[in-house]
Amino acid sequence: MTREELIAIGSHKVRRDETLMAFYLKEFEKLFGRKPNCAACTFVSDWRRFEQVKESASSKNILKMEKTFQLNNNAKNIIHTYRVDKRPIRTYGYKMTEEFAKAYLEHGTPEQIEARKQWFRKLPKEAVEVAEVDETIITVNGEEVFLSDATGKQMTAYAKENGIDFGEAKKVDDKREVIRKTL
Amino acid sequence: MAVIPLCARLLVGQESACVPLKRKYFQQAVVINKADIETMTVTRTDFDNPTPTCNYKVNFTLKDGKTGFRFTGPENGNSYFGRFNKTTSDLGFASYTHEVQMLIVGADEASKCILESFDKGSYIVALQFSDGTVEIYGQENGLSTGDYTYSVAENGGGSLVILNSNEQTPESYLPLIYESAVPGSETEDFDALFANTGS
Repeated sequence: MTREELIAIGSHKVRRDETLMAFYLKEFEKLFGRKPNCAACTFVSDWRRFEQVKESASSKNILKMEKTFQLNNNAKNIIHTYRVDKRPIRTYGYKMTEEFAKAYLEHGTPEQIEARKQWFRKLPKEAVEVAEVDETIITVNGEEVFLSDATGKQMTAYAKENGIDFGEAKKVDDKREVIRKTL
Repeated sequence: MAVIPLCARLLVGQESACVPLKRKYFQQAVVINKADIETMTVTRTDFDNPTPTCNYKVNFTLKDGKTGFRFTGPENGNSYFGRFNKTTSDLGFASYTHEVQMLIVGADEASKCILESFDKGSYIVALQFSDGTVEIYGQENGLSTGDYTYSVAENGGGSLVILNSNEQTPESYLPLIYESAVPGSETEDFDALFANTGS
């Protein structure tokens, strides 16, 4: 099994399967040089780090391969510069990356940014908005759990531990909302 | 036997038996007033590291609004180049005097101002070798002119001028390799004269 296949299985199933957990811990150690001190206690945050290592590598590749902008021909052989904290960041037009193009049109005075837009035949697209992921974590019986992944049983236990009354909420999603409002 | 402190050791060899050699600098220099340097970071090999890797780099940023100045010569010539001399001080320390040769032309007011600036100022000079490497000369103590004869008539309109380290204050390092704040953008920084202007 590969790391990608493990991630595709999902944290929920991995957490509940001894064999998958053992593989996960081995891969975790390969990535970060150590196993978690208490795998169950920090599984949620560790799993997120474990996934993010994969996400950032693939997103970098995507940035490299896909350019959503086009420069005018007269912009390709000149040096484009923007400054961050008074430190110049430069590139030749023909080497401009998507990342640079977006930063180029973000850092500067409004007048500078408007002037820079003249170099573009097609402006870079705004970064695709990633659907907001609910990363709220609750602790149930000493174990960290994403609220969005918590089972009904886990939420009931959490509510009991924290004195939360679900009231008329019977469905799992409704209970989830009740807990979220208390956080 | 006494323990001898070693300041450096060899990490890797060099195979040049069958390699075509590059031997020329681009015929231009970017001269920077040493006083215009805002920040400078030198990165050298960490020999205390159990697995050291070669590092001999410098990164710098000019003060806000400052720029270097480009001097150019005919690309077919060889007026522009850099070199250094290694000596051992009386105290036993290795030291290096850097030299950059450049072409200055003319007898007008502008060329006089340039020559006087070189004579009385202190400069860091960037040269780019034909393989793309950008070298920085005079990073530590700056360069200025030594004794020279400027004879426009005898030398066909200009003279070769050498900016070099002061013999009393040589450099501690060989000419360092410039590394941009954005790795891979060394040529851009060189072509843009390392300017830190407000655009």
